[in-house]
Amino acid sequence: MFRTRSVATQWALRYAVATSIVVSSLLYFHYSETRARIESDAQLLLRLQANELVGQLQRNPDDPSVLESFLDEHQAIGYQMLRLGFRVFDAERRVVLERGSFESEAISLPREFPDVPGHGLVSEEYGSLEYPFYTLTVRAADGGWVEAAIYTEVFARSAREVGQLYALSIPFVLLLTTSIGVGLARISLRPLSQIIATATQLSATRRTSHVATTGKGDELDRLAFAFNEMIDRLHAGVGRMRRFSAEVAHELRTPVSLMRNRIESALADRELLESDREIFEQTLEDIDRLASTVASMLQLSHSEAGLDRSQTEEVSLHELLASVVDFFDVIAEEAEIGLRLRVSEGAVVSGDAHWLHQLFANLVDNAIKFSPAGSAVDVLVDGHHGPSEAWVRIEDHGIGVPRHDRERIFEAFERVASQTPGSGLGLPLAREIARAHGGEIELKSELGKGSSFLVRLPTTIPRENGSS
Amino acid sequence: MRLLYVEDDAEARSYVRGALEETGIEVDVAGDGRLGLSKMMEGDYDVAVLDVMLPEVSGFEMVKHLRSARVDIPVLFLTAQCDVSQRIEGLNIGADDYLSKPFAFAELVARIHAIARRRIVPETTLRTANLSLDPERRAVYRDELRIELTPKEFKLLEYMMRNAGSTVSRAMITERVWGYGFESYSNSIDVHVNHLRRKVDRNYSPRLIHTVKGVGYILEDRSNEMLAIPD
Repeated sequence: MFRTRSVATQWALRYAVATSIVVSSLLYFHYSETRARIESDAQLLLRLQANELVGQLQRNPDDPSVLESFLDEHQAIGYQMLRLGFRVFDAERRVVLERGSFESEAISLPREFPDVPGHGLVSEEYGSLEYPFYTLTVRAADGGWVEAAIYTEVFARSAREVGQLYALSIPFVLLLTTSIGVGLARISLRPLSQIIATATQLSATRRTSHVATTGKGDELDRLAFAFNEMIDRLHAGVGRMRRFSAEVAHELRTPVSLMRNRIESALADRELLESDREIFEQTLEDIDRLASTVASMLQLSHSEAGLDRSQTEEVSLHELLASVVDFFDVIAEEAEIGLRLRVSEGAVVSGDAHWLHQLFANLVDNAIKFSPAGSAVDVLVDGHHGPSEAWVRIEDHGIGVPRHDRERIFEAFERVASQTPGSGLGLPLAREIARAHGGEIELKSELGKGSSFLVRLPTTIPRENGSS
Repeated sequence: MRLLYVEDDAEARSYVRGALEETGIEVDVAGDGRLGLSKMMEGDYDVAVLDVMLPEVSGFEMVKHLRSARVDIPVLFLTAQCDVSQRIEGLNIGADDYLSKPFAFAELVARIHAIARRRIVPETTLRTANLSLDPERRAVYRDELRIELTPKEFKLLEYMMRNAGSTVSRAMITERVWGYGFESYSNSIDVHVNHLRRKVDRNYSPRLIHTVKGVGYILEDRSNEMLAIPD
């Protein structure tokens, strides 16, 4: 019924439990009070009746009909509802008179009265039934006793009913307080949900938007304010990083370009010695490698700075992968590797098509590089793994990656297998691009059996007519 | 071909100018955007090569001015940035191509030739010697024999035939045929071209697809030159 992962629900449930404890204590207190009052009322009534009977017996010590007329008198004035009974003892504890107004119901006086003098509750058992009596013993003037008993079923029932009513009301109280609590908590936590939404959006797309502040100055408002400040700082940092990498690009690539121009111009000289030509050509290759490393590093720092909002577009993941596979198809064929694409469902992600292309090209290139001839590389696209996540798996059947290298291969310049060509930036770049899109790359690998790179990306467009 | 080259660095300017003139292109230069813009508005150039970061008026601003003044000269940007977004922005403004520094002279020359001829786009059948390609019916013939190509091979051949007689670099092929920059994996292009060669060129005469060392490929009929050599 409720999402238990919601703070509102948790709070409301705690609140409801607390309320229930308070309410049930109050009800229990009230119930005990009611019971005690009923008992004291019964006791008072009995004491009055017993004292009056003692008085009458004193006045007519030898009249055996005193008790009968006493009871009749009481019934006449409306005490019939109260089932009273009396037993009169002489000084030797012999029963002199005994009479109860409940005999019509085949209930006799309780056989055992409490110790004299005193009072208390006594139950008489008839078969499986229990009949509660409240009894009281009063000392008579002649040294004997008068025992009075009242059949307390009426009192007991009303006390029980009160108890039942209270016990029944607790679930209702619980339900009511929970629903009210959830509602109230939701209302007061609404700013928090907004902060969560903004933070999620921020980490997924690295777009900057602010949380609305209420100006009330409460904790949530202060949190929203602090959050906005953090976003601004982050945004400024990203801006500085972008500008910095643009500067670096210019400062590095301009002289490298000039170097290349110079050497190429020198190479154009037909009189050049063959040995010099070789040196120049090698230098040219070094310059190109340097330029390509600089380009990869800059792209890495760019993707670390996050996606540029103006660059994002809707990218069809399966079309993109079809294009990547199409490009690498021939390379795989040359290496005698079967490159297979399987799309179980397409998906659209919001992002930078060129970056995403680079991501998958790097992974496919990597998979082909580490595959032995005759094996297969599988590219599997599952566009809707979960409601808003696309999975792309690139599986090879190569040598695999040892456990201690599985994180290291995503670090810049950490080339695990040093004999393979490449700048050592392909996988780090792939991971940064995935992260810039709010996704992640996970590696599963078994030594000697191969590796599986799983790219998880959030999708933008919900599954079409797939709600069944 | 008359070309205007706008670059603020004097040394780079002289090297590039020298390299371009070597290939027979007539080069005029300007050291800043303002001067470059006025030269372009007045002079009659076939192609302009502009550095993006220029004093006074940037390369982007120059192209914006040109296009709003309906000057339709093909423009190639040179930039020290390698960011794809800049490339896209440049092309959106109305530039025809984009080349990152550092670049090879041959790559620059190939791109200059490509954008200079891009203005003429005949939709009729493309023909080089006995090889013909019909873009509308997506059919390729060699010696009147129809050759079946995959869509990518067809696109690659069409691109090479549209630029017949000019060198196309590997980077140009990836950008134009695949639509993405695969700088680091350009050996894939060699494999693609080899596949294409196997189908349309290897068993035929004359050979039309030639490798240009260190740059890329050229599709042209060299049979006349071959004949000319013994003379």
